[in-house]
Amino acid sequence: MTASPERARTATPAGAGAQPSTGAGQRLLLRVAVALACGLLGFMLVAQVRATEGFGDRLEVEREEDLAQILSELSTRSETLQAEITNLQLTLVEFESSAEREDLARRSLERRYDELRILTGTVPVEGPGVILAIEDPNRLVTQDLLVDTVQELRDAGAEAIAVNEVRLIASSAFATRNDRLVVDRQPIDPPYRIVAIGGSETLATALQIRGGARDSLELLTGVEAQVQPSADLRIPAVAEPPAYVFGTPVQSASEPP
Amino acid sequence: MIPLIALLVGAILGLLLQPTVPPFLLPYLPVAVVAALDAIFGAVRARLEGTFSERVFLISFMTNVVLAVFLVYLGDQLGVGSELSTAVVVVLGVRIFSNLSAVRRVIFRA
Repeated sequence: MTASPERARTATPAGAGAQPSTGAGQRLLLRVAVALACGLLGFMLVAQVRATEGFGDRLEVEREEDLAQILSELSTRSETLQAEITNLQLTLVEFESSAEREDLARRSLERRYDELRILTGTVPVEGPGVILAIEDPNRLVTQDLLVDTVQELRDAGAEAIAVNEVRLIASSAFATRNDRLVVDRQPIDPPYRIVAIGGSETLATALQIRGGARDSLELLTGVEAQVQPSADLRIPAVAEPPAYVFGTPVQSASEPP
Repeated sequence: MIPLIALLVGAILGLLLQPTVPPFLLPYLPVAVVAALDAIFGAVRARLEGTFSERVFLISFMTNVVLAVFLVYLGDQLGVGSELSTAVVVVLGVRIFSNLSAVRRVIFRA
């Protein structure tokens, strides 16, 4: 920037040396500005080069192939994570359905428990059914006839049966002691009242079949049997549940659920 | 001579200070640098051809940088930032080459 001919040329027509001091000051200022601009460029250059070398803006300067590589890596990772999400969701669904299954199994067990309690007579039972009232002033009804009647009821689907408020269960037995009928060691006397819970229509029909239980009973002199369906009956629990001593259940793989 | 020294001083300052470029400046700094380079080479050419003026250089320096950055910014807003920055760099590159060939002609007379 030493005195160059072109500056003299350009300066001469404009300034014409009218205000040399001001012109010189301005020139100095301009030179300083030019130097500053050049310094700024150097600074920016270095900053940019360093930024390009930096890691943070790697993507900015990556070439297309590298970008494609990075993209494919990222999509692979994304796919992996997506698969993990799907797996976890499947696990969740499995857990939920297994909880549901457990709930189902529990409910079925509860139902089965109820059925078994009814079957073993350890709980009172209520529901629809029939009442068979037998008048027998001459005490002619035998244990065989009662057994036949009970068989008839069971055949017709009776779920719980009681004779004169004595609950009949699997081990129940009829007997005759001193001309008195005995059910499970409890003596019963006429009039007999057999209550059965089940489909009341079916039970009533079964009892009144021609030549069936009622007919057989009424063949005896003085015996009058009345069948009376009812919508709401109640049968007591067995007085003393029997203790099973000799038998133990066989554990079997093919045991029904 | 002084500008060259100033350039070196700036570069050394940059090396010493190790400036981190703010993220919002990252797309614009390269074109700003190229625009400044164009102004510098234009100045070198003018100097050799005897038409150099500090005012012209300063104004062209400023406008080059500002215009280039503004164009790229505009391109970013329009969604063609990378294309427009390529265009700016190409145009400035062509100018740098033509300036350099003029310099070459003055120096080697060929």
